[in-house]
Amino acid sequence: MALAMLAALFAVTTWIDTGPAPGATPTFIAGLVLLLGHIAGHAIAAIGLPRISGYLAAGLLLGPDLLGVISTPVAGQLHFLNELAVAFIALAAGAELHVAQLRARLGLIGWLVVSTTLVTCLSVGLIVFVAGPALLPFAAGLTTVQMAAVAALIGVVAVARSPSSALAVIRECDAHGPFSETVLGVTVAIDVVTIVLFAIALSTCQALLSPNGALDLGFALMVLVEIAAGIVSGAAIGMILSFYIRRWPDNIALLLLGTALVVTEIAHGTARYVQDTHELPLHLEPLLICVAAGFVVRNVGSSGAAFSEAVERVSLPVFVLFFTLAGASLDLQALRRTWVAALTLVAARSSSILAASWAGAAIAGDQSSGRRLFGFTFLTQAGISVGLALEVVRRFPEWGEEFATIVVAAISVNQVVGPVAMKYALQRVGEAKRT
Amino acid sequence: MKLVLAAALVTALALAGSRFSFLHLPLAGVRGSLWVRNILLTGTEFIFIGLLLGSPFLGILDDMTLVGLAPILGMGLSWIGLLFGIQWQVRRWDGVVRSGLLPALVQAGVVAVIITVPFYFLLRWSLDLSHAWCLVGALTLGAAGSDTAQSALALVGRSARGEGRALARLLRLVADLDGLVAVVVFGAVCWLPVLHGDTGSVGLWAALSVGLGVVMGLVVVALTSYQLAEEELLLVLLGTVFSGGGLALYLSLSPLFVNAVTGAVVANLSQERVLRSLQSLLVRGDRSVYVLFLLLAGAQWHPSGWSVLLLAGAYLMLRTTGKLAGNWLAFRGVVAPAVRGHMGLGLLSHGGLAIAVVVNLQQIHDGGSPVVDAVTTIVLVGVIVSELFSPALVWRVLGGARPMPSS
Amino acid sequence: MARAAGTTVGLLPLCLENMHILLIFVYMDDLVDGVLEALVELEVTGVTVVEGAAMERILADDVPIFSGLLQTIGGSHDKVRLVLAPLAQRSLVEPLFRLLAENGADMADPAVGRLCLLPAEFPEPPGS
Repeated sequence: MALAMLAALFAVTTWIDTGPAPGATPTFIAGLVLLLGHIAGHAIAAIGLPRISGYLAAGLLLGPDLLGVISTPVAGQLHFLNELAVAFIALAAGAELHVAQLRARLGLIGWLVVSTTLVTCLSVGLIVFVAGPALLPFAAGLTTVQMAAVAALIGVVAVARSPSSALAVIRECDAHGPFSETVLGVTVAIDVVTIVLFAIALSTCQALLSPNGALDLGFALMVLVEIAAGIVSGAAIGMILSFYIRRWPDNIALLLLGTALVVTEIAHGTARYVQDTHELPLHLEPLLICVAAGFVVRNVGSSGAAFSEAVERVSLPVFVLFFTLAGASLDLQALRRTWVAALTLVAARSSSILAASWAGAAIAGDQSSGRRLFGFTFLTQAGISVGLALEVVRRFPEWGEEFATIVVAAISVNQVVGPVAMKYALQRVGEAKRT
Repeated sequence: MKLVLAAALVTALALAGSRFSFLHLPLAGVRGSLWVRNILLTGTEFIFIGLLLGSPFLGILDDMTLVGLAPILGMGLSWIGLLFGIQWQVRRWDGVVRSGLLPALVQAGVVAVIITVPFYFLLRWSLDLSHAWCLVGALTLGAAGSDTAQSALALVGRSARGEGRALARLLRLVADLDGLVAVVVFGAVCWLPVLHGDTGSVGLWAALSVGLGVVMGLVVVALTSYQLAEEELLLVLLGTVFSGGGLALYLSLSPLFVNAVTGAVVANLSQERVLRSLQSLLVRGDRSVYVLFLLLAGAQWHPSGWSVLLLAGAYLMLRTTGKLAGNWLAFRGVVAPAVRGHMGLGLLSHGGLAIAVVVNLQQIHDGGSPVVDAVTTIVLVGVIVSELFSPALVWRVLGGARPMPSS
Repeated sequence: MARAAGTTVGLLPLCLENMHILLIFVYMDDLVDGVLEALVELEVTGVTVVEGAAMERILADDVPIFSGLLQTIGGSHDKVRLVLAPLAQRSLVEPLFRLLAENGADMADPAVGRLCLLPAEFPEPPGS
């Protein structure tokens, strides 16, 4: 009944057009996204799948490829909300990382990060390089060096995970325990590693492919500076938040909204300023800043518990908005055109992650029941991977578009499959209190 | 990204305002004139902060930025409308509330008429507006003027003793209930075809307005009929606020009215447990949203010439007259004549829904139009002047009873 | 408490397994005595009265902007007295309702108060 009424309401907007007030359409669509996402999440959960799959499905349905409710212009208008959601989710992810509990598992986390990074990057890269034009039609005209560059970049993108998906599934299942904490720790760490690795790969590839063959060390250095600056500014923001919450522990939700806005402004504002004054492409990553901020609030001072509680209370609407919009951005056209290559990449990535995780846990001497299940939790992929693909488009316009099409198609599949696999793992391990 | 900076600034100010304004200060000294402290007690200073941030001065909240912030405003209007409507849970009303409803509505109705009729002609004469726009302006002023802000009565009323306490309770009840006239009258303003590009009819827009509110209310009732955790209730609430408000703005209707209807439907059809949770969630945003409104109303205020100040003076006089006459008429046989004669002075506090009405008008009709500028100036000046004097007037009406000892 | 009730009323030990906690929310101050008298008449012992504040009253400490009516409606529940008592016999509930109504505390009227029962376990200390 609720669905029918919402559909009728939407029909009214398409029938009547009297020149709406500014902001009316994105406001209405945002509300529709929240309500339909909620309904879809419940419906999907009834058949045992994670709610995040329902949000993605709702977004897909509303997206430009199907119903077209969230058209490309509307998605552009809602992009601001999306950025806020990313910042907020990153705050939540940082708040989940408790030093005292992570310390005991640092070795395991370290080995998992190293093994999955190396094995995934190398395996996927090798498969792409060997398969060549058979897998990637656009590679038909590329030289061996160019092919190696493409393979390296795809290998690095394959390493990237989705902390937001991981957090969403953990929250939905109300999962607590060493397994969940390890998963989140690894996922967040891999995001940082991916950024560094991608910068190195991109610089190297550009050097290999440019006429003078010069290695752009400046770019790699810039990335390191970006990461350091992001962590430092995140820590500073975390200290301020911690102080504020200790003094005035009410209205934390509004404070979090303000923080997300400030972080977004710092990231973009700094980039603009440095570009204008020094002509340097410095880009602070809001995700990194917020993870650092959330981490500091959680682990420094006495505000951690209040902060975590407030974040948890308001995180559901943010997740629904974020993942429904993510679903709307899934490129079905790309998947239709490149499904063979995309599914091959998905298969290669998944098997290497599963194998690498098992190996990493074994090397770390982990004897827990979850040691064979870590890989299932690392399959998710989302926003940051797409961002990396778009960077490739910018740097290598000759073949970048086709590269991005295949990669984004693979990411889309991982985005759908990953949460299902993760929920399975959490339930098998026994840490999921809510199924 | 000026928009992001503006949004961050507005959020920070809303946070500060909700934290530090409306302080429950010890009122041992409340007798006559608090003057400037009254302003600070009721958050009215944020109008000036907004004005400072607006185009005429610092330009941080310029017109383009305000357009970008429109979704936040839409959400705020919907939030307030929903909060207003969700309190009208008729089955919980006791005899006191039920008996106070008609007099409260009558007094507000009298105020609305006493303001609207003269202002129709005043606007026509001073701004040379068409009939339709005069009607929009006059009815909006009538709606804004009919409402009584609850804050001053709450601040001063608690200190009353003896007979003053009973009168304080009555005045608070009237202030709680007369907002209905403001919401409905302004809702009706948005049914006028002139606000819809002269398309449709009053009946069509009225039906859409009420229908939209009812449907959204039924959606909420349906979605909350299952056992939902608090975060899921928040999700449904935000979804309702965004979609109801967005759709109302899309159709150039009043999100305030539409969501008030939604709230009323939810209040009377939902399970008690769900209703309490929704009310609790909505009340938490009470102050922050109000501070946001004050800021953005001030930012969109384009003070336009001294003649409008004369109109503001007329508004204050008419409102005062209306309150005195309305209460004298409405409470015949209910309140002693000696009290009835000056009871209206205790209901001059202005703010709350009046500000929301102004903001709503600014949303659905572009700023820069003479009627919007005039109405904004008149109401904001009215609010500022009223808040200077109303706590003292309330004190006098309550008999100047001895204050509580300061804690 | 349970032992005292079991001993005083001469109940079978089995009754300890069917114990309930009786909660009576009394919204009107002047009716509390009537409630207590009814309980005394039914020989319910171990009664405790807790003074609380309704949610709306807590909210009322904040100055209302748009939510005054909510506080006004809830204002009749300014102070809430919560009467707690262990109840050994569920069969006492019906006579209790009758007595309360006779004493002016009609629990059928939500403005007066609410009565509820919670199943409870009163574990015996070890070794007793």
